Amino acid sequence: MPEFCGDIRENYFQDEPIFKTRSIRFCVITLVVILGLLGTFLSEYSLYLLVIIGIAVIGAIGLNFITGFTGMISLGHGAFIGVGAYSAAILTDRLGLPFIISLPLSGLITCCIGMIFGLPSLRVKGLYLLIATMAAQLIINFLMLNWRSLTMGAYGYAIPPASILGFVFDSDQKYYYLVLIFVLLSVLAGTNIRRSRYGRAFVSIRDHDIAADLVGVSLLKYKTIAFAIGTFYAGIAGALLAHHSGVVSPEHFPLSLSIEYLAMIIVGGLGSIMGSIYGAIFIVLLPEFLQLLLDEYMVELIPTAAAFFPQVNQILFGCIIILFLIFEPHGLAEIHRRVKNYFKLWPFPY
Amino acid sequence: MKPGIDYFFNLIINGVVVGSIYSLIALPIVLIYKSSKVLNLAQGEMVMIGGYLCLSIILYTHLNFLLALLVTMLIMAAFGLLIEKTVLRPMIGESFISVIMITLGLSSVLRGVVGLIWGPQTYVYPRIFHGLGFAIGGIYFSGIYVMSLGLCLSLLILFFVFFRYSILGIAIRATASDQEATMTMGISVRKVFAITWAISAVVSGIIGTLIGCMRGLNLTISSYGLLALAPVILGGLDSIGGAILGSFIIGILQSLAQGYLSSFVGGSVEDITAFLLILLVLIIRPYGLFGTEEIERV
Amino acid sequence: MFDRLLIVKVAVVFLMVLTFTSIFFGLGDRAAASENDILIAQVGDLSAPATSWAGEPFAYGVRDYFTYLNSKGGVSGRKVRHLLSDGAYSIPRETAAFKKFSMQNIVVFIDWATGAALQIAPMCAEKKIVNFGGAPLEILSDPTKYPYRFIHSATYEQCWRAIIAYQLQKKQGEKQAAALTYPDSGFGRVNADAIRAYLTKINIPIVDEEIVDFKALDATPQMLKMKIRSNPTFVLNAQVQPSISVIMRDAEKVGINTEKIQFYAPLNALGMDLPKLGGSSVKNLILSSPFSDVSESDLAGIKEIVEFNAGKKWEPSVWYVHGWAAARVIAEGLHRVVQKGEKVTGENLKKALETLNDFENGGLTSPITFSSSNHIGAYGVKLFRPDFNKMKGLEKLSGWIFPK
Repeated sequence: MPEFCGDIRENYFQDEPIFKTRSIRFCVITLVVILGLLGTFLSEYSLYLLVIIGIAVIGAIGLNFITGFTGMISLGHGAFIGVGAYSAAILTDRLGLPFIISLPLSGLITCCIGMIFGLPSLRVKGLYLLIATMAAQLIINFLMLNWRSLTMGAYGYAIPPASILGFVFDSDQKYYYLVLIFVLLSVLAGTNIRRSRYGRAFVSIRDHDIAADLVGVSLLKYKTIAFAIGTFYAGIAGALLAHHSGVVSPEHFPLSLSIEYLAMIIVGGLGSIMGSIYGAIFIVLLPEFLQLLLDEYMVELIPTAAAFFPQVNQILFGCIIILFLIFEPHGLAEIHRRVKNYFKLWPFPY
Repeated sequence: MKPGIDYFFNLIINGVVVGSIYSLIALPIVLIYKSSKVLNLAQGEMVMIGGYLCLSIILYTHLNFLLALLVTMLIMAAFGLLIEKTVLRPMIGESFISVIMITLGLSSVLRGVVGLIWGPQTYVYPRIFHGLGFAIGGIYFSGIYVMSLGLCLSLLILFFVFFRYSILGIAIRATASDQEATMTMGISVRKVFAITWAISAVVSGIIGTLIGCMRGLNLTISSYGLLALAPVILGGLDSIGGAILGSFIIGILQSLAQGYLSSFVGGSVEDITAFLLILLVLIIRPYGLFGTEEIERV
Repeated sequence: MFDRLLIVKVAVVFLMVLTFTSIFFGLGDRAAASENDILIAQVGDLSAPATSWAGEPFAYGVRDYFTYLNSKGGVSGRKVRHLLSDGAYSIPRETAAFKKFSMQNIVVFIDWATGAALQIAPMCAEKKIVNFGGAPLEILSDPTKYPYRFIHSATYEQCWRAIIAYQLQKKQGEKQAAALTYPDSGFGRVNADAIRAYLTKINIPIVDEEIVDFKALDATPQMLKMKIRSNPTFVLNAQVQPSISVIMRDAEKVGINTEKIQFYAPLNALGMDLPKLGGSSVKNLILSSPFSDVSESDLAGIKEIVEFNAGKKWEPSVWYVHGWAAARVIAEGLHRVVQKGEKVTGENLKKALETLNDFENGGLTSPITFSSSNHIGAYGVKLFRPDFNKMKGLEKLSGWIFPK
């Protein structure tokens, strides 16, 4: 067989793998190795941030399935993450289940609760779904605060750190590795779902749902599945969050968290797994960066600069969303794609 | 009168007042949606700005209340035009998610700006309507309640007349039902959008001032914007009458729930009643009491 | 084909990536100015809507005391560096600030919100960092559970006991019935539980409970319910300055007679602006405080505060006193450690603080005593009324009361 120059596929089977060429495989493995090494020498605070980012990535991928791929806007994601967190707390603390079981179980519980609120979405679309999920968010918040026998209400629910087979993850460094594994699993799973028939069905529902229905894509079935997958991811993220902070309280899961996640996938790129990653990193680091700026550098100029943080943070957050929507509605993933395409043909201009 | 009945009527009155506030916040939302199919999630923030603006004008220029209100209305109109031009114009034709998110982004920016300029403390309006209250039997009507109800009703009648009989009103309704056809009739759709936003901003300014007089101002006023979505959904997104009726229904229901159920549930029941009702409406009758059902064509 | 703006966008993204990585490699972490400096970190509430009017002066009170101390020679020549970050009354943010600061060599960490304190106190015990806070809570005072937490004043619970004792004494002979308002938050629940426990113990019935949020602008339904459906003789309000103003204004609006039915509020409602925010309806409010007020200019500690703030544009309030008092106690502990020639660590500071016995603390609190089995420093509570003569601040109603 003649050797071809370049990246050429001859049949569909060759086109399917996630890691298409040897060089891509190599890059990915190097990346994973680097991420692993980072855990050995970065400061505790940096690792803490990376854990938060990792959890956000998982949550963002989930939301992307619901909103980015399938086009159903959800303002309730923050609440679902909270449900995952509380499930983990209750399962570990009240029922004494080990982490290995309570984690996926939290995901499943969140999934079920997500379905309950997701049902209205099947009848309505767009705007009305937005309001339904917002209602879900507020109602779940209310239950978190007031169903005291279950959730300990405003006091918050304290849970012990995660442990697998006796190995306790009680430091940020150890937890980093745990979260890293879950992030890699989630990304892999997410990419696989995306390129499967489910992923294609989701996208078809987003783009032309009536046409999809006519072609045989059952709207009921696939919308439900999308919501299920998205909320499952949220549950996992929530459970990881719970074990990391050691305490879950209703204040951790307000409506603004849902808006943050939406911002993540908008900034990162709707309908793209890489986009979820980029977006999560961006949105988590933005306030940290601002805090750094205000605390260290502005303090000289304006002594009370630290007090302005929340306001400036809000303005910055809003501006980022607005700027991205106006100038790059397809997000960071799109910028990545275009740069990549440019370099594919480099150094040839055409 | 027996205390039980007294209590009930007081709750109803309270509910009617709250409902009138909601209706004046819901009105601009429906207006903007009717003309441009945009759901303005930043409405609460615009209300808040109106309130703060008027207070600052009163405090710094010592104009009397009505003049200050007039100036506020003018500034708000300009503000509405500005927002439409900078933030909403680029979004014409973009996907629905983008438009919603940009109003959320806008709400975040506005909240931050208000917090930065005015700070997080609570502000109190000078007591303009003090002493105008009265009581019938065991039922209390405070002056400001009467004011707000009166204002609400007058604005509603005004809008009704506006949309039925004035050219601009008809133009807005035309744009709402079919943009392309309207453009072929020679009406500038862009101008219609701009004017709709200006009107919404002005109404927000008025209601912000009213809320300030009734309750005081702080950064949490912007959450009224989200609460007002409940009556909007209940009444139907594109029906002004529906939004108004929905506002009163929800205001009264909230007040009754708070009055009777809060001891059982132990928390603040008001917000929940509104949203539980929304979920119910969405399951039973998604387009609201009076909304028009969207017929999609492939 | 080629988007001009793409270069701009890529450049912007690249810049952001650079700045973000700088966070990870700690380029912003400035090392302590000198080896000798003592580091004290605080997360304050500088911007939250309903609570920063108290959080800000508290944080600045601590900060200013250390500035004052440094100007008078510091702790035997060693300067104290005060690191401050804003938690905005958010538990996750306060905890994150703790994690960030605890990586530097801090000896003391000062927190603010009740909910955050509950999380941070055990973490401080683990890291052997002395822990002070804006929330004097009895449940945090157990040295076996929270060995590093110290409370430099009387607790919320003692404030309530002082109030109830005052009411019983004032209306001796009358049958009492209490009503309660509190917000639906960590702070609210902790206080409500404490009040209920105490009232049950002394056999006073609670006839009504209302939830009023800190940020509430309207309490009419709650006050209506209280008026029509119950008959309290006094009302205990676990509220802050803005919300108590709203409550009393709406209580008056629905016709509750605030002269006959006495409204009380604790430390958290103390503020300079009560007359302004609440108007004449606040006239009959009585407040309890574990701290002296800035108006008591005969006290040594107040004189220090006045001296430091002379010529400054803003006016300190009782929260500033709270912060100043905390810093004073910490400084005394630090003095003792340095005088003994020991290294300034959290552990040594803890031991030094536990030797404080009847420490005067400038009259800002009643004399402070700690021991290895007791971390509540003081038991004295004072009562105040809003000052309508000056239309600002508080006037004293009583001296130190020591409730049992």
